[in-house]
Amino acid sequence: MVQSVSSAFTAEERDTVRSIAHSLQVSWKKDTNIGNRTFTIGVSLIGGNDGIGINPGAIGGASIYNYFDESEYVMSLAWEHGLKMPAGGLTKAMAEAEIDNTSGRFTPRYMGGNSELFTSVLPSRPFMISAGFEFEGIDQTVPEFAGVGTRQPRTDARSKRLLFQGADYVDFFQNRYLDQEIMFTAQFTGQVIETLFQSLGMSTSQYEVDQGINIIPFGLFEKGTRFDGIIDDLAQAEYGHVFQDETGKFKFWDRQHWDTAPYNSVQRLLLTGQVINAEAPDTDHLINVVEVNAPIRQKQPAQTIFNLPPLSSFNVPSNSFTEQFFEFQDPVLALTDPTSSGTVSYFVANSLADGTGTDVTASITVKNVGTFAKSVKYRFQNNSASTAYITQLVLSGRVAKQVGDLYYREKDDSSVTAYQEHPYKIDNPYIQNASWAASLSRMLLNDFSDIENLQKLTIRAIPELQNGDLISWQGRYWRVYNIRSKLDPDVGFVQDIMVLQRTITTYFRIGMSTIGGSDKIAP
Amino acid sequence: MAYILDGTEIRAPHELSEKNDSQYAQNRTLDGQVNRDYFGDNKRVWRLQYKTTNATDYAVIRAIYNSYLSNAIAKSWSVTEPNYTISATTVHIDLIERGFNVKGEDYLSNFDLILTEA
Repeated sequence: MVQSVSSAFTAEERDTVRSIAHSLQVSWKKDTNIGNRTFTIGVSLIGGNDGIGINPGAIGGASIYNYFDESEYVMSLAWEHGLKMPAGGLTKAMAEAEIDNTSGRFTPRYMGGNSELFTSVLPSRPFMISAGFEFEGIDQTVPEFAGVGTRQPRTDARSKRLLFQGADYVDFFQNRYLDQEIMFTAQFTGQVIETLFQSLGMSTSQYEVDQGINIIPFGLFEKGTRFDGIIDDLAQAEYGHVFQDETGKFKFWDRQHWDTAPYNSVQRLLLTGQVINAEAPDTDHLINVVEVNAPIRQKQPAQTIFNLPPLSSFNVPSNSFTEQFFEFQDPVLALTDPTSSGTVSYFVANSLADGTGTDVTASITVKNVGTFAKSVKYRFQNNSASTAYITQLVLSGRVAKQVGDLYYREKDDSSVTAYQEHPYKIDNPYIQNASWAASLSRMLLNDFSDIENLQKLTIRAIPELQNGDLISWQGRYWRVYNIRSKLDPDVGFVQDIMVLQRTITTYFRIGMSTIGGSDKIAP
Repeated sequence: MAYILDGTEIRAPHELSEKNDSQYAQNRTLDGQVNRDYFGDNKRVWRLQYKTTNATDYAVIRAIYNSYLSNAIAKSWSVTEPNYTISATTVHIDLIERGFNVKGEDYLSNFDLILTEA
């Protein structure tokens, strides 16, 4: 929803003559205002400086840093926020600032700099951009971007300028890998995303997550998987969006996020006096055939999932123990640990490796040291004075097996007739049934099978505009999907916005809608 | 009743001009309206033209210019003429070219002193 601004602000934004205001804050020293340490029980003092909320190594909240105000040095600013088209997913915002370095303030030490920042002109510096207008004698701005520098700020001795480029904190997802397996059953998309956010060390104040509509029957994220791939797939399966907003807050919007107030009412009426250009896009966005592929996994009833192969016995030294890993073919949801008297999970120990000696099973105890998605580690303790051999080991449990592949194809015949086939393929492991694939396909076709549905507008900047806002332009309703803002004395304060045409639909709500009325069943 | 640059009275110029330097971008929207976005404040630029100036007067101005270059600090500028006043303003200094049309002992010269509001 558009950021909250005063009526004087919106009046200024439509004025023929506007005084542009901006703010650029950079945390060159990357120091925080919560102390340098996270609160640790037994170490930190209550009332001390150590912080609670941002965990060590967590993906940061922009507000925790101390910033230098570099607004007076700004020569131009640009930033871009978008939602992933066409099927949703994870998107990151990007920004850049061109800064005057005539004074040498931003010259690094190794280039002869001697300012207070000469050792701090480095990559990965957090920065924030705000923009708005100067009226009633003061600068009135709204937040536009919060992120981190992605590369070494570029400067050269001749131009006396510094180019500072960065991306929002979503960029971190591309360089973070799961350090432990996560497995879940029957969870909504929002629950899974929240689990992932928390595993990144985020506190609840750093994100807002919709519950989601898609229930994922089974999911496994293996150790070492990149976060951005997981989150992108989850959001795509939902036909939703994961992004960071202008203030630095992470958000997950499910497919019904825009079906309720305030997203189903027009936030801004765009006048021709605000539009500099309107451009028809090419046919790249056109989709009239959707193909969905997904591997289907199902929970299986308890069954034997491991059987020690013949002649694969292993020994347990006398009055000692040995630890062994056992691998499974499929992810295990529940495992019954083996006992000497077990019926489905059991083991047999002998005095000889080929199983012909004396049965010494009673001398062995087994302890589960750790269960992982596709393996388990057991400790076998031998309490007798002679070596024992584990000659039989049978393990039983419930696994999630891939039982087949989902393939679903849907097309819009009239669009195919008009424009030939424009297929779009979705490979996503979190789409687990045909009805969900059908629903997703129909929504995509509804949005993108018509050439008239998309438009790119260049407008005099509306700083409070956000992605997802519904705007009215030339008597039609459009949803904002991408905003590229530029604040530059050569071009002015302008925005290129990508908008998708919408028909406002009111969906059926229990207790409010009437059977036989105009409200539709939500997709 | 003086021209003061960096706290020093300099010789009055033979000609003086003042112009405004505003930073703006102009866009024309689909309804035909011409709109402007202004960035920052309006800045003034003064051009002081000197003709047949003796070496001593030039040296005073030159010394201030040298100080501006070596210290990289904008200088204070004010005018207190009866009908033209400039309250103390910080300016950048440009003293680009000096031409001689009367040589001899005095080496009278022509030059322009350009002062740009910081």
